[in-house]
Amino acid sequence: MVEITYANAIKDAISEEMRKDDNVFMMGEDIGVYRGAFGVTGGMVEEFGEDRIMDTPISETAFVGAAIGAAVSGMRPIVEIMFSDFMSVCWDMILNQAPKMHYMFGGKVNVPMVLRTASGGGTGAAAQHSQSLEAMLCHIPGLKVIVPSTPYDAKGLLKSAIRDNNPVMFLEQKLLYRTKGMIPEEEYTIPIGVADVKREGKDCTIVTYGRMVHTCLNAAKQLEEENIDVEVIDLRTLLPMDKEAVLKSVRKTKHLIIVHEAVKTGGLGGEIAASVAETDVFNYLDAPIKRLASEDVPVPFCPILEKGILPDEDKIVKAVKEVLA
Amino acid sequence: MKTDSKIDKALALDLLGKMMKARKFEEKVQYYFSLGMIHGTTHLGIGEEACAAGTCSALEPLDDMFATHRGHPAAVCKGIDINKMMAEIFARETGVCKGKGGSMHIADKSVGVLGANGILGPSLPLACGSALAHKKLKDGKVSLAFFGDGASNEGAFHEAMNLASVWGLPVLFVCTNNTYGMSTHISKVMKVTDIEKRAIPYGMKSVTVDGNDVMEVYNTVKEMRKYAYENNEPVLIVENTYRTSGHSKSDGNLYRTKDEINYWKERCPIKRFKERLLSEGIATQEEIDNVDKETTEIIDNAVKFALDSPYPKLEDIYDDVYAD
Amino acid sequence: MAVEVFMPKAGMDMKEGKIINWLVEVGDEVKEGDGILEIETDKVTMEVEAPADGTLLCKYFEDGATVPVVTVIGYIGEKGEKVPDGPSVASGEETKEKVKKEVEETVVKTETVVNTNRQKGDIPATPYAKKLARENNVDLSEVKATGIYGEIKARDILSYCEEIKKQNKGISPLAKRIAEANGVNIDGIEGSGYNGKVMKSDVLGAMSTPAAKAADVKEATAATDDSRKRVKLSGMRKVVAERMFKSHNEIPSVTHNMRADVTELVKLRKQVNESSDVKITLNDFVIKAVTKALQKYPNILVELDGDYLVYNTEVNMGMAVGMETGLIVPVIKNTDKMSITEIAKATKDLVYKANNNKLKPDDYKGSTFTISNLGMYEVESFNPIINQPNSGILGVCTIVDELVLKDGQVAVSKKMGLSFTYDHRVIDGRQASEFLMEIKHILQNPLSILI
Repeated sequence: MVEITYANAIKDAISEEMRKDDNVFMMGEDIGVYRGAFGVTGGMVEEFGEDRIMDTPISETAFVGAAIGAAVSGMRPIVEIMFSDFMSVCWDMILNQAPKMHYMFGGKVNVPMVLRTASGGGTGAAAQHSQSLEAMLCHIPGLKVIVPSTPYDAKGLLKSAIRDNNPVMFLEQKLLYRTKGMIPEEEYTIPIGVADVKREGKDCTIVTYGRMVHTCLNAAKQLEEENIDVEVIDLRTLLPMDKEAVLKSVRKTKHLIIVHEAVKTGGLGGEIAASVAETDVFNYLDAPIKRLASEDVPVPFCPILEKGILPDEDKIVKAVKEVLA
Repeated sequence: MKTDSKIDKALALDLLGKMMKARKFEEKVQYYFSLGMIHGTTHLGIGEEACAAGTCSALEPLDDMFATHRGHPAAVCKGIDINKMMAEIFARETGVCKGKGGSMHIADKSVGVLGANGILGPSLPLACGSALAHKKLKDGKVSLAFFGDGASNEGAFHEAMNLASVWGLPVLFVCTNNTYGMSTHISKVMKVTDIEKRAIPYGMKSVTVDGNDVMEVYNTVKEMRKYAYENNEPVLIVENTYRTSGHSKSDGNLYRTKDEINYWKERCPIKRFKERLLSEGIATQEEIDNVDKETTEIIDNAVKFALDSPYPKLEDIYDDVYAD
Repeated sequence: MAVEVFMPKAGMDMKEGKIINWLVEVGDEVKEGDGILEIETDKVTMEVEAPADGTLLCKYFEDGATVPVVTVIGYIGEKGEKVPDGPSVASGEETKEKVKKEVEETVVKTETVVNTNRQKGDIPATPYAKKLARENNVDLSEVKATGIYGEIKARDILSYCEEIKKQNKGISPLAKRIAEANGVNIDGIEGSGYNGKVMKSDVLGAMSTPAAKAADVKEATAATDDSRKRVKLSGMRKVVAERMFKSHNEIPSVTHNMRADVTELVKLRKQVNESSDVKITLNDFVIKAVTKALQKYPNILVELDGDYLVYNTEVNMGMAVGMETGLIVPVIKNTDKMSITEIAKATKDLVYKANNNKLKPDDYKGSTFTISNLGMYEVESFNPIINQPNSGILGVCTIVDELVLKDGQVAVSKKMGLSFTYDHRVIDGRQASEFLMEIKHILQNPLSILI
């Protein structure tokens, strides 16, 4: 095992796949000598050259469209959108092109591409550079959506995403880029669509993903001191979602809290809650389901406000106690 | 650009056949649509067949082609299976997209038809990527994007023009300029209606042709394909033509006059080409009649094939959401 | 210190509740958890349980009063303890309301709301608690809720089950009260609740043969513009209503009327009573006469059971007894094996029991024929309703003096009306007429009754 940052785990995943498969290449704004806005691609242009680490014009529609076109014509492009908020300027590609082709062309055209993008807040970047837009993506069948929470998951899942024959949206968590974790030295992949129980517990299930996994684990640690045993499920892949893992856990703990950084209304919390409520596992609930999510506001600039709108450890601890009361 | 004086007979009959196939295909679609046997909507390109036939015939068979929502003639001329395409429009399981795409999404990668598209503009960025792949893979192919005069006002057009030129991509941007974006005449939405000039700021080669002259279209695209492939350069080709059919089935033709339509019907590319072949002694009336007869049979058989085919099964809806 | 009894807030939107009736009087000893009054919300009727052991010190509101939620309606404490002169808002609630957040304001607090006997569908319980309740045959209305929204949680079901296990023979408080009020012996009742616990429905089931004495009639004036008195049906009245309706609905009945000359019978009775310790009533004679007729006509002593006709072998005579609060039908068993004196004794015994709430479930069971005697009310004929599963019922009417020709002479004759109603599905008019004529014949030749 070696210790590595989340950013480097992503870089290693791409580099390993690029070394193995000449058809894998990257496109994005300032990913070459600049090393990408978050420094993920540092050193890559030196290793792979400008032909495979391609700086693009500031034309998201053009280069995301080009990624799709390259994918259907035999390549395995990885395209980086600097901030997930910028999906708005290439939304047609994400909504109407990439996810639709395989289906509407009768299964004969594959779109093996990865769209990496930096997601989430906590950086003081305010309303247009801090959003968590995963729920919008999960509303589009044909896409796969991944939000990794650790270097280990990021690397294993990204390698699977690159090898996948579908358009995969890989939402990296800005605040996690510098966090460290252990990964094996030997090669590994993690299957898409499988959740991970980050902490086993018997009293209450918390379903979460991305950066909030760590917040939930910290809250669980606090609760442990009060003899409350929380299970933390990291979905890792949001689409397709491992609902079975959620159902299994809730059947065991009888209590469900969902925590995410995205705004509450229309967020995945509702989807997860409904998935439980519409099955027989509903009958195992011994308290109402709770959702902890961002307040329904644009991400504010002031750090006090930005922190204030998000779920934190105290809010999670309180919610768990309420659910178990 | 002038066409060669001497026309190859086999090529001529092939182009005529393609145009007639496209025309008859669309006439059948129109007929069955009006009978209520085809649902959804269809965008017909009657009158624009020379653009499709000339352009697609000038490509190598496996070059990639991205079409527009008005994509029937292009798909027909690129060599798609006519039976399966007709079945698709009739929403049958045997359709080229298994009944899940329909008129606006005809595609078959095996003959380089990478899809008609319901959105205006994306064909250009997609073709950029495809061309980038061919350049990287060195597989000898180029990519081509059809789009209309209307779509040339989309941001995607300009982003793609810039990207293709700055990255040196072997891609042909083919503007089928029928002068109407639905009902809106080009003069209402463009200060400079000479679309060819839009290549200038991107440092791109460009050319305008008479889109109702199939030989001129063919020869021009052939030459431009060679140029794009050999130089890894994009090209903009503007093919001026006219759609004598309505925009879609709901078009009442309120934005143009009968006289205007009749004027263009006189300039029908098929009619013109037949007259030329006869006057220049390239083909006999009998040979032309044979093409007519053959293509009629092909289309009639396609309709029969479609009508005999089953509808897709509801239990198969989840097939092909994701690739394996 | 005295503990408040107050009108509970038993639902998010409950604003007030009505006191249907107090179950205890001021001065009565109560135990924590005993039902002390019944209240009615806009949704349900429920009981308020005593919040502590002690004596009911006062009632601020009487039956029928409508009271805002969390208003103190009484106190429980030690005898002689001082209590405020009038009602107030429950103290606990007052301070709480200041500090509670918006959400919590609208919900019921566990510690202040006494769990009561609500209707099943209206009891808030978590899905898992409901699942456990279903699996363990637990009636949610018996379970104390501890959830923060006043809902029953899984732990509440589990501790309830634990509690029942500890008891030898469980009976729910409500079932117990009903049983006591109606003199029902619970020993013979098979409980359907968790661990064989006897529930309200079990007691009612035991009582429903064929009808029973009910608890006191609860009266309350409805809080509407309608000034008419409205009386809630007692359990007994409900049972009677249901059974009458069922019989009337199911049975195509026919009534034959006939009059018997009982001049001789009246004389005979007088003679017999002069020499007997046990006073024999005319009704006793009728019972015996009918018994004899039934023995002769077994096709009347039948029950319809689906596609089968069941011939009863015993004559068990149901006697409809009109009480102030309803109708009961105690049964005299085996009148075919009894002498007239024995019948008279048995009848007296039943009447005594009925008047003193001492009838046991067994006293209602097993009738094979029924007599309804309205003779004392000058009723001349009526259509009695058959007491299922019997196939016939004899209505006995008043005796009137008539002038008749006897041996060419005008004489006074005493005529008793007989109204026989039968189930035409199993008895035909001819059989019925023959049977009725036999009764008439016996009554007119009363000596045969004594033999």
